[in-house]
Amino acid sequence: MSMLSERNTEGLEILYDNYSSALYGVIHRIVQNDEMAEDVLQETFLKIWNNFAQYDPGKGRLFTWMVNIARNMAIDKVRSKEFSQNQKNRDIADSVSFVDFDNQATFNPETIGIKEMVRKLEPEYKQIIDLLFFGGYTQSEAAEKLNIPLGTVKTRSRAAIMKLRREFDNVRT
Amino acid sequence: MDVKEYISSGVLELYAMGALPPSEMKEVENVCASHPEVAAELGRVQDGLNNYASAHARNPRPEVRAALMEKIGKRGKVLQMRSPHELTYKYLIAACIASLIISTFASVFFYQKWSEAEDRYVAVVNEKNVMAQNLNLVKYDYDKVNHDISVMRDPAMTTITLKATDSTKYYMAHVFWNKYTRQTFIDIADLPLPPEGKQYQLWALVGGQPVDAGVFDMTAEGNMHRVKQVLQAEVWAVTLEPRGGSISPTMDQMYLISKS
Repeated sequence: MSMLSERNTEGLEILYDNYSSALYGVIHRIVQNDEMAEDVLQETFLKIWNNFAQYDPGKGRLFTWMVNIARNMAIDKVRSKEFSQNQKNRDIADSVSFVDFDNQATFNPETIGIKEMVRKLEPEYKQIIDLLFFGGYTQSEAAEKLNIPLGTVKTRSRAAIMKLRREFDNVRT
Repeated sequence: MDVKEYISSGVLELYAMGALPPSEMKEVENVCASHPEVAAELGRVQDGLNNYASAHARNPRPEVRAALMEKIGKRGKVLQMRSPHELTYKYLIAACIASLIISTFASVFFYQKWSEAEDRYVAVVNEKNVMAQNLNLVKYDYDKVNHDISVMRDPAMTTITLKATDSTKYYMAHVFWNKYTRQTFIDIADLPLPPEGKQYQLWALVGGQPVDAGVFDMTAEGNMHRVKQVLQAEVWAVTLEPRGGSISPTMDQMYLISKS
């Protein structure tokens, strides 16, 4: 981290080697295209490199900060004109629901167990996280999309993540 | 505020997934700042989401890493180029080149000046040598004249004036004769130049008998000529004779004669 603050490129290399797979996974999940996902991954690391001074360790984990950058850039990319021209016939929410974990090209051995667990997640929980977290939907947009009350979006989010947490704890122990 | 209720409302989950409008996000941050247990719960929610995000991990092609590092590396180099240390060297090199150019021009300029000065110096030295030669010539002439004057000033020196035998002409010469040393000089005041192959000859007449006193030329160097020593003379005469002189004078070619 001190390497990154001093703008030492070695620091960025270490950061890339540790987190590129996770960030690329999130980005790919959102943009659904290898080439575009690679572009966004590069832009994400450039942004991390240039804005590293803005990261505040007191506010949360580095990974959370980086995932949010990757996620926002990927969602921006999906919403950009360029993308909508390429993907005229596909709605973002539909594209999100296309996700199929079995089709992933490479697996990180450490996360195979986690993938198994994610597959066990109830469809409604998976759907709410996909819309909000990967789709960039707001609470009210999700409520409209799923045709459920605003408060339900909130409680379902809570339940979904509680379930995730429990499952992850089980995997670990 | 009921912390438990706040935590179970699901707002932290929405916050963690970025699904809240900015105003509500600010509110969550404020609550977290004042309630450590809420902040801790948010951390756990984020960890859960992070795990979920990690579950999607897949490896990008290695080319992406190389391209990224190249981009970053280029920026690093640009930053280095701007470092003051390197700038100092750049200025130093620029200053060196500038002074090299200036000194080269100065060298050419001063070489030309030096060449001109050298040429003028050679000219002055030549002029000096010519003047020294002239001075030597003048000194030689001066010494000669001085000697002539000293000869003439000798109290033992007798001056005899010779005039034209033809009374219509103004020919004239003076003979200087030292009665002790017998040294004899003739100084031409006015005589026509002798024709080719001819020379004037001085005669000393003793008891009516002519004695050869030597021949002399009419040269540009002066009209004073040293001739032969003469023991004694009553009358002096000058005749025009073939070059080299004659044993006896040609009387009808007598130009000058002194009064007895």
